Amino acid sequence: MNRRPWSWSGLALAMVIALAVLPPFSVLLYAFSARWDRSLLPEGATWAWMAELVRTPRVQAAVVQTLALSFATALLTLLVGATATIVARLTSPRVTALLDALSLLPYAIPPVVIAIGALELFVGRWGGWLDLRAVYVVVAAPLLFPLQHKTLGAAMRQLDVAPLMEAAHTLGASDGYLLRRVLLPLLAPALVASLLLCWVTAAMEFAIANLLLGGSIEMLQPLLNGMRSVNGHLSAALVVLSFAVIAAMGMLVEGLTAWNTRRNS
Amino acid sequence: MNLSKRAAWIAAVPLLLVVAVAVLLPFAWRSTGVVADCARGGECALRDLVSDGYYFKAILNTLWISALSTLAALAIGGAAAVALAEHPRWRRASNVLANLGANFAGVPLALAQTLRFGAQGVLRAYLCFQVPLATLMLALPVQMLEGGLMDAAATLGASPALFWRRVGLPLLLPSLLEVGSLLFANAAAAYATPFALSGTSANVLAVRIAALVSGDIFSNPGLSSLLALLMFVLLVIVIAGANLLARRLRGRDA
Repeated sequence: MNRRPWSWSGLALAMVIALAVLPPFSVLLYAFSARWDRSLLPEGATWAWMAELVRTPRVQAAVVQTLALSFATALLTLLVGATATIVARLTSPRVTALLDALSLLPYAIPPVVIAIGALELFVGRWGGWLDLRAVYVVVAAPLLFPLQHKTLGAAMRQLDVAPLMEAAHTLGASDGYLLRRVLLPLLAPALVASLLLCWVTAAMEFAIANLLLGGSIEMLQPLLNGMRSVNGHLSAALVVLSFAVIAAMGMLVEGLTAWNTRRNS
Repeated sequence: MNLSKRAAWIAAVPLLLVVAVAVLLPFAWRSTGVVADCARGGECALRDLVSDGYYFKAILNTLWISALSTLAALAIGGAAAVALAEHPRWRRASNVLANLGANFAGVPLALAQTLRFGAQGVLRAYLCFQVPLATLMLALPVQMLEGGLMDAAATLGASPALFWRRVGLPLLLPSLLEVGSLLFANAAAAYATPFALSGTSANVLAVRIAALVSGDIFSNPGLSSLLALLMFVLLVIVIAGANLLARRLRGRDA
């Protein structure tokens, strides 16, 4: 079949790439330019914003807070979520269906609604005897579950566990032994990849961080928003820095997944 | 130890507890509060909602921008997925870029938007994350469809247009419905993007729900709960409806 030099689908792909790349690219330019208000193009390439950024104590504090709290959230999601996903996929299609439905819940009850509900109940009513950080971790975890459920579910489908279980039973191994000695080691890269993805996603979350913690604990995204009106260049530099970290983590996840696929095939 | 079906339920208990405590309990507490108030017939958020066209406008705005950005994303993202299925070489790089775009939402996107256009064009901002997301989500269904079917149609003399009208789109429809419902929910739930673009004056449901509680001027938690409940009902109808319809369409083909 001979193809035309251009097609509607190629045009659409170019549009997707433009929509995806132009916003990050303009932020990147802004972060490394001295000013961008006199003409159509930015002027004066500079590392000054980046340097100022890493020296600012407020930014350092927010980055540390965010990394710690989002890691705790991702860890909690993985502990309770992965246990549920793995055992359900091994034994019960009904529980798997329930978990699939559960992973749609954050779409029906959006983060804003979750954040406001938690603000009124856990801070307004029971705030006296609840630790705000713990509240944040427990409230944000269900938002990450869909991501964890999807990545781990895909890894398990690829692994094709049914024949493994059958072989283990034929050889007289218990399910516990199979899980400990075969499945968990095989799934380890997928578990790490899922943890990293959840970590990154939690760190970039805005609604809960702003509404629930706003005013008491400063997180990365609300800080970004506040900095925007004070110094846009600095805010842009922080965006660039966080997406550089995300890209590095993404490559790690990609590498882990590719390595896992090769190892298991 | 051997895993039984009961083990699956036991293993799910911690997760169910977390979801119940963190999501369902506050939501149910607020919803029953406002519903009970209205059932008693006294001072009730429903009156505030009806008396003020502002909140109806917020509901309409949310529906309009979610539907429009979803339809545009399905059209552009679907066509891009076709291009990716035809040219596997581009797949890897495009995936990386689309992933970047789908995640470049909220405050960073608002920053980029104000740099390029000033603080306007909410729809344009939504397209920046909806379209790449649609491409990512449609890539797999389109790829599975492409395998051989299009070549077979071409061998039999069908033009691409005929193929898409008679074979491709009908087969793809269930996936389009499912992906569309998630894109709709994603747009309706977007809070960071409109909030960062225009602050609490952004008149969409997600921003109103938050501003009615955390805003200092117009505090009205009852109305916020009512709007959250309305949004929940709306999104459940969209998601469940699209999934049921998709399942029925698939069942008919099988």
